Amino acid sequence: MERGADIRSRGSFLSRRGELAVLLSLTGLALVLMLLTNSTQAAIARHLEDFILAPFRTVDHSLRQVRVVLTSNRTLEAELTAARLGLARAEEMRLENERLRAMLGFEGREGFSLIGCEVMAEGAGRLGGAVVLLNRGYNQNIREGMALIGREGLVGKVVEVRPNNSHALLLTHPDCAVAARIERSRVAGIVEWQPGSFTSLKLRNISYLADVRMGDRVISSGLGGVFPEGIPVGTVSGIDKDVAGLVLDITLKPATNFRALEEIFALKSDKAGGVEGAASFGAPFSPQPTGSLQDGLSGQALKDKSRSEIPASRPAPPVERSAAHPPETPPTSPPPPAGESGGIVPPDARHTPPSEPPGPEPQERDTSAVRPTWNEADRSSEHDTIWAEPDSVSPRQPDTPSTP
Amino acid sequence: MNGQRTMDTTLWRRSLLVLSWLILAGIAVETSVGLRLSAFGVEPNFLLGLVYYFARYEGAVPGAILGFLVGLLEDLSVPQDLGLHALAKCLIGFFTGKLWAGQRLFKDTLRAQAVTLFVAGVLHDIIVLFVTADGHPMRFFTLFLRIGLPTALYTGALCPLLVVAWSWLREIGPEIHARFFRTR
Repeated sequence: MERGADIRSRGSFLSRRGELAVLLSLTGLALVLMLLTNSTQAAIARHLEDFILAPFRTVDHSLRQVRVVLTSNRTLEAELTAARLGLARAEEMRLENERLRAMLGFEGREGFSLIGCEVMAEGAGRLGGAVVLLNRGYNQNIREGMALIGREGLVGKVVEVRPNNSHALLLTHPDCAVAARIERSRVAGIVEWQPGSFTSLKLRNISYLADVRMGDRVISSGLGGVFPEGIPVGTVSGIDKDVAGLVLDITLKPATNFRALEEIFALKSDKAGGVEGAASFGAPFSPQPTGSLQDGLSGQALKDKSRSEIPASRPAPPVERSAAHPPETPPTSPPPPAGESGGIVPPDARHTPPSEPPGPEPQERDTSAVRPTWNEADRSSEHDTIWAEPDSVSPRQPDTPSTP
Repeated sequence: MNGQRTMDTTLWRRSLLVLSWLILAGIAVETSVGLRLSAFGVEPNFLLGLVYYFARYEGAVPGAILGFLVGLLEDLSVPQDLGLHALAKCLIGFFTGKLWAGQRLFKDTLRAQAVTLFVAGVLHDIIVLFVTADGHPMRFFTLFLRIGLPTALYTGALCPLLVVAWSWLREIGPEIHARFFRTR
């Protein structure tokens, strides 16, 4: 009764007439709202919703965001812990490796530092497709021959350096090849472009007896010193025998998505003359315009052309090689001298490394007539130890710098 | 005069705060607990319970205002019926406050509360479904039997829960009110 008296006394300042007025006002307002057209009702409801419920939605959205961030943070912390653990183990293994190498008398491996680059354009320049323009150049310590890596793996190499930008060949370019090996079985080969495809690569020079399985990871072998060892190149996505049945025709799915390149890194050797001196990897690029790319021939055609120019003076491979690479029959006619191929010069002859010391050695410098193309040299890279070359003629390895 | 005006201002601010607090609590309960307590497609009408108890304790006019505001918020989800729930809850709030405040008609027992809450629910659903049925008697009765009556029964059955919730709200409200005015 006390509470009822309190309510009655509180409501005393609002008379019965006043109460009725409030009721009629609210009821009338509700009826007016009900009698409005649907579109007007929807508009009013939308405005009221925006006005009244917006703060709640903001709070709700913020709470959801906080939840997402917390979850993400937890995941990232776990990943960070695992990564730190892996890093510590890797560091231990590196130190152990250095100790073992020192015990065996091996030379210490050089380290690399990364220079971040952004891709400004793709397929730019006179080098055709599979070429990218980077926003870093000589002034930012980019040098010719530097290896480029992305987050997923190997990307390519720098071939032309300007003061503030540079051109790079991707692995899908015909003139770019990498010495690589199967990570699991350590079988070495050469990775190069897959003719007719811009999304797959080819692993060559693998014997049909080699242990290769689908899904095997292919990494750079580090032979030649341009690309450090262990960078992912791709995974085996197809295994087939070639026409002769002696070597495997292995297709790789690249680790890098060459269609979505944005930020990549140039590997700068911490040692002087490491990567920077390796400007003659694969088909080295010379800034001197030779006009040979304007003749309309594709890279494959150039290779075929240069392959036909392999001279008879090339030493015959040993018998052990014949299983994988049968000895070639020397051409009956003498090879044409350099420069007589109708203006078509093979890539090796075109791209003379700028670091090559000038000197009057015509026999050695005129290598287009006696030196195999890089393609041929790639084939021989698997059998470096049994490949005998005269001193004056050195087959060019894909990763080997031409500068001694 | 000055003292009277200060008391009126304080009363008004307190009422506004309590109204906002109750509306928030009602929407939170309706959208969280209400969905979980759904049985055979019938959900208890917590907002009606809120209006009912508020009107019972605060009087007819506050009950009508709270009913109108809560109903208007409820109508925002279905803009075609804008004003319908506001009208129904406003009327329920007003007459609950008129008939119940001061214990004019009923004894303050739990059973009496459940019965009156059930009756309030039935009246509320009659108003809403009558407009929704668009004047078709069969449709109205079908909707009433399928939705209105079960909802009113369910809401009346949850009367003890509502009493507990209302007591809790009345305990929390003054605390918030006290903190609010102390910090200012």
